[in-house]
Amino acid sequence: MVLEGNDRETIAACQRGDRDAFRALFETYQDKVYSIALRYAGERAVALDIAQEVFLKLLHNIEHFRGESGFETWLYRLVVNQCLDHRRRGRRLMLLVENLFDSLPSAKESAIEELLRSEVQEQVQRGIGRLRPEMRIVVVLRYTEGLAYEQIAEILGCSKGTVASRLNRAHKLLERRLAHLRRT
Amino acid sequence: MNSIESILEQNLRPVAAPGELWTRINSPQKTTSSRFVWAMAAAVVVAGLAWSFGRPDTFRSSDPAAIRAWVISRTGMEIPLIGGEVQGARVKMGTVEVAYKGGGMLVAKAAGPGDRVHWVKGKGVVSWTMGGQLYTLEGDAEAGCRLCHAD
Repeated sequence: MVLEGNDRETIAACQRGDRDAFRALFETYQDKVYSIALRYAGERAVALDIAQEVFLKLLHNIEHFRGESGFETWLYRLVVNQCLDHRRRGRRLMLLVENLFDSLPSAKESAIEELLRSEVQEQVQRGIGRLRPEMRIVVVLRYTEGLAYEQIAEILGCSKGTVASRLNRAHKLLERRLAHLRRT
Repeated sequence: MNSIESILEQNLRPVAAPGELWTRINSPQKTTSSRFVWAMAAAVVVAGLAWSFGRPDTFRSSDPAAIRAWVISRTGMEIPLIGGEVQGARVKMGTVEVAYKGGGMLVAKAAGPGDRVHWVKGKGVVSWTMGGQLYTLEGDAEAGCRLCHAD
């Protein structure tokens, strides 16, 4: 990504410790960061942890950003590293609790309907969750962010061929695991 | 037949970040995973599932004493309601939800002994055990406290 004038100014302001500028960067990139984290981790609570840590690292490390790579690539690397480093901390049950409370104020029936509607998405997410981390992150960057092979290769620091190979293997594994969905 | 690419495109779309993310960045939370939290979480899940799948028995009243008596008659559980802006209660498979202006309180039999307090969620939800019962408060905590405390 080539930074526009305003983005450069925002980043420069962030580097000077301007909190409003950080807020502006957060507003711009929060959905992107959270989406990657959620699609990678498959759990809202874990995704929030990852996104929180990414923005805190961004806040503390932005002074080291020199513009040698695009800002978006630099940010993607922070997200990818955080995803790959993240250790699950037994949060699955806590997630259930949080989801339960999220649904409490509304009618229980609508929560169940919503659960059924999201069943397919959960199956896809479970299929992705079983992929090895380096394969999973390629799938997320490709399908959640719509990035080109070249961009993914730059973010991960590998060759375009490696990206293509990982994606190809992921497709084959997922084709088998999600075969029942392909017939619908 | 759908291609795997189209299935992935449809199900891995970007989503909006929740509003609480900014709050968390400004006051970072540490994740917790003590055995107590797990026990509490399990008890709340059981209570929540029981609540979700049973048929509710509802009682509407703004009188804490009346609700207290009604809950005892339905479940045998004593909830020390004395005030607050209570609106009613529901019982579903042995779990009680007391509705009040600003939130709700879920009460179920506790899974283990001992009186404890622990925050289940960073904001808005507190859960504790007292007298063999598990209480979970969601919403306006101050208003919730007034259900059972005079001050």
